[in-house]
Amino acid sequence: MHLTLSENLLWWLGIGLKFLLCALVFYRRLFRRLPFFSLYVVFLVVEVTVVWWVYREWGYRSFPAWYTYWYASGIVLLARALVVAELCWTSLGTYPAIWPLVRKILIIIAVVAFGYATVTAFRTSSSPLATFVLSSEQALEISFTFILVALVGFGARYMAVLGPVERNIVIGLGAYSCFQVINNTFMQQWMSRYFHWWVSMRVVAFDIAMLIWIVPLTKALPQAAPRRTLISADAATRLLRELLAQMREITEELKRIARSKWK
Amino acid sequence: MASILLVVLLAIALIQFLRIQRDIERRIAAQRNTPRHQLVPRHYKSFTEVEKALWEIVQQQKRSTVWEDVRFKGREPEFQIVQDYLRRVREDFRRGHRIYGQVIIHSPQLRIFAELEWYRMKIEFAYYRWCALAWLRLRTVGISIHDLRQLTEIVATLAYRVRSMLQTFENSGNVEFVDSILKQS
Repeated sequence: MHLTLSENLLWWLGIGLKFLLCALVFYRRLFRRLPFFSLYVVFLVVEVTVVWWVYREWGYRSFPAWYTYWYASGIVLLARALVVAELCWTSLGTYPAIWPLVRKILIIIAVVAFGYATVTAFRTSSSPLATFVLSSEQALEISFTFILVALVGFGARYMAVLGPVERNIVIGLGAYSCFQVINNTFMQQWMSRYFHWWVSMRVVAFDIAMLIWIVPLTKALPQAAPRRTLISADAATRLLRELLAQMREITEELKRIARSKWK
Repeated sequence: MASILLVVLLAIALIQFLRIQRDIERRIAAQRNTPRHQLVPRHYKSFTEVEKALWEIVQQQKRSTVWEDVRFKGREPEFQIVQDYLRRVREDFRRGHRIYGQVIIHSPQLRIFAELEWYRMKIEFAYYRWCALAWLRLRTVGISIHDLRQLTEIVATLAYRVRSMLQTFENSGNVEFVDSILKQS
């Protein structure tokens, strides 16, 4: 099976963007701020290199090519899940009341997504590996979209603003995940005959996401925002408890006044 | 198809939240040198002056003598005063809301955070209910002084809570923390 000229061009453009992104991540030393994102970018480069080498050595339709593709896809998907968790950590890790709850929610989502994928893989009559990766992807893409929207929404409500690099990563991941959910739905229902077209659209969507990630890295990274002034946990607990007691008292007083008005 | 609809809604929400975040960044940069007293809700205190100005205009026009029955509509000249006041009080609400959020997010315990957030949501609900009613009344009978007083009470309650929070932290010697909260909200 041969790729068309446009598919070849897309393939090479994707490879070029992955190498460029990886080079920029290391040139800007982003691995110090976002280690999992950097690891993910490295995996992208390793994945494309290994898959290309295997295709060249054994051919596109060989068993090694098939296994390499699905294992590599699974690893990259797992790395992307870690990037989403890392974004949550960089944005919410400093809030002691929120982070433990968010961490639990993320773990539950991961367990449910992989549980669903495992059950689907065991039930299938075709390849369990491919089914597991595809089902995990479907479950995780929608979860990623939910998590990213919740993260940005939380930031908008509590002024936990993301930095420019993190924001572009969120936009890229969000756009790709949204596109993938739509793409997978169309694929399942109407377009299974157009597999090539589906793969090309997926590559285009990912290229757009990479371009979004590359943009802020073309300039020097902005200085990390100065750490916020914090107070000790004991003092904060004591003071906020005082405040709560005051609020409860006032609320009770207002209720009492309201009741006496109606008597 | 449900998943497509859901994803479209999520994408719209993502864009909207990102726009809010960009506005927050711009505002924080713009108010870097703003004096501290301007960073807290303060316009709602001018309610009595606004009421007096409206009263004088109504008296000059010799309109209805029952003050509580007087309604202000969009076409009347004194409506500009009402509109200005509403704009400033809305700004107060947003400011108070942001400071409140900034303080409670630093709660070390989830239970305290949840309870404080509950109080915030109750005020938010009262405020948005007022906005919805005001929107409706502006298109029908007009806004009364009673409506304006109600809004002032809602914003004053929020402002009081915010002031109590900031004072509690300041009195315990955490002036820097309060400064950082005000500048970041």
